[in-house]
Amino acid sequence: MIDRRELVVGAAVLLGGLALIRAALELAPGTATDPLGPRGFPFLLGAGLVACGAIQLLTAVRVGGRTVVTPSAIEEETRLPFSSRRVSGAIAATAVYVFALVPLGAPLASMGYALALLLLQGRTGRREAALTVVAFPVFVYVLVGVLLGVPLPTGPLEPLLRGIRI
Amino acid sequence: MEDVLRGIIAALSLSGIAAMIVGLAWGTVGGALPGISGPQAMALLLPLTFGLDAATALILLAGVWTGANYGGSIPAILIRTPGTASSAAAILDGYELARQGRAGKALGVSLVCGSIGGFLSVVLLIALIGPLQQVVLAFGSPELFALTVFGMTVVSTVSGPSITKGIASAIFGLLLATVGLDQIAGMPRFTFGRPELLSGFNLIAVIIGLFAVSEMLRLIAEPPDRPTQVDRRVNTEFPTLRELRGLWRSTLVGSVVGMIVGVAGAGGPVSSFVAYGEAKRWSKNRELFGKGSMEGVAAPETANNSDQGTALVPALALGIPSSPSAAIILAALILHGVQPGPFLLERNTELLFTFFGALLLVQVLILPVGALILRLCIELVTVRPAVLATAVMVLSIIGTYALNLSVADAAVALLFGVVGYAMRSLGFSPAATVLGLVLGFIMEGELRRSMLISLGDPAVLLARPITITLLVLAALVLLRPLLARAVAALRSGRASAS
Repeated sequence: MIDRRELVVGAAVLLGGLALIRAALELAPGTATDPLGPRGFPFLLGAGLVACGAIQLLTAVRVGGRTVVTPSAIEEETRLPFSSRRVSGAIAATAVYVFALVPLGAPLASMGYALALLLLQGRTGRREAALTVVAFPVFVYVLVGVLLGVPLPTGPLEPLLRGIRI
Repeated sequence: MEDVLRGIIAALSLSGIAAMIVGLAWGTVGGALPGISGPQAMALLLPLTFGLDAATALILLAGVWTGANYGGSIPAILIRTPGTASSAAAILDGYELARQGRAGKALGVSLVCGSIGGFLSVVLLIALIGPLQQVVLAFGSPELFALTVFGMTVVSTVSGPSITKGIASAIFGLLLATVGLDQIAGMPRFTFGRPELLSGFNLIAVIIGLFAVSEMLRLIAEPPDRPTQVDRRVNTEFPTLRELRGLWRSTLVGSVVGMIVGVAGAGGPVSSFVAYGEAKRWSKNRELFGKGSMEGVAAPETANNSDQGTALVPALALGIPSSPSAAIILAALILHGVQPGPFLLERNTELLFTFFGALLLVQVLILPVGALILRLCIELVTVRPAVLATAVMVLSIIGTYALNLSVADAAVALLFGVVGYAMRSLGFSPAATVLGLVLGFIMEGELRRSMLISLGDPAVLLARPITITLLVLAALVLLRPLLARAVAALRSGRASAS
């Protein structure tokens, strides 16, 4: 019996190792004063990944045949979800948040981001939602921007917040 | 002894005391929140230490680490949900005691015994670090390289069910450490022409991504059930001296097990379960274990804290982190311009002893702080996962941005959050990647210097007794699961053939 997912994972690790070896060979070779050179260590790491990938492939092929991987181990490894609408939405919202941080300013961008994440996850009480969307971003701004003195971007709120920095 | 006293006095400055209290409070709350473990609580606070001096930053992290050890036990005892993996053993008797209406006493025993265990382990750390560094100072580059390879054996304890994936995760971390200007030749490697990558990935951004962002993405993808049945009237009840005398055996067992496991780098979850089993074996009332025994709370909680100080021995003496939390302490040192490694104590005596002083003090301060903050923790234990994930994501991104006022750093945190989430989903270990990332710089540097000494002959690594011993030990530890499986497969093959 073959565990296809583990087979793909093993193949990916092996190919990643080969790609790393190839990339390492394009780096400068060793010299008399530095025998290993910039390429040596990444080359060894690539070889290590190739070995791990090969073992993983063997393990995936032999699962179910002999006692190579215990059933509980497989269950543990396959228990977690790999993808979902919520998680991809959260990643997209975070990417927008990161790049909106400077133009919108930390307080406004954080409020919008918190609202987006809460809507994405659903089922939140009004009080908790208000605290998370309004109070928490304000708290973080006060903590980092005011008390710790980090000049966080303020965006359109600059005229309002200019005077309250320590 | 003088250094220790000076360290305690230095840690007792106004800023030091404030840092200890804030760290303990944050750590306790973080540990109590399901989804945030000790290393995550420490990682989240790491960027905020940037504006502090190195000593205050380390004092703060000492508080967070100690607080998280206790915080994890609060939901374990109250709602049978461990806040951290190390607290899982506290469920066995702690929750039984809570069902019997003795949750306050169980929390008190957890606090006091944990404090005793933590204190003893820090004393051992202080006793061991000096002599160990003297030994290591005599090491050459081949020995130091072998030591870093041996340090990678920690991977076997953080890699989960698949050691192969754990090793691959660690190699990924080592690879990340090579990004940027090469440390000897000064040539750019794997920068893809991006000038912002010349100095490599921001260590803190990567750590926050792998530890905090990835875990929150997991929480968003797979939210756990929200606990609703919590007894909000619970107050911490400290054990009396007489009760403590009755717990001496389990506290001693917990301390010894925790310290041994801590040095070996096997981590809190291992130490607390081993301590529970050993305490049961040595107890005169072993029949009470599992039915609400105070000894059953004391032993794992002592062990859980006892591995804290000793886990720092290899980290501070050798620059080799033996746990994710120790890796974060090393990252904090790097963030503040202090290079971990064999010369750490010699060059930063005052800083390290201030840290040790703080580690001793937080073991005492956790008693009032832990008791006072219990009510807040009980409220937060019932917070919806959606709210928790949202708050931590905001804090992670703002914290990473605040490091260098750089959108690129925040983007790196997101990138490694996604990478960490994918790694977890596929059974890889983000913690092993962080260990590799922290060790990579030293490992490559010492390997290249070894090759320089031997004029490129790799036999230098096998010609010295210390290096060959360390490398063979590392190979045995890392390959043990694979060898065991191979032997089992051979045996089953022979059995079926006969």
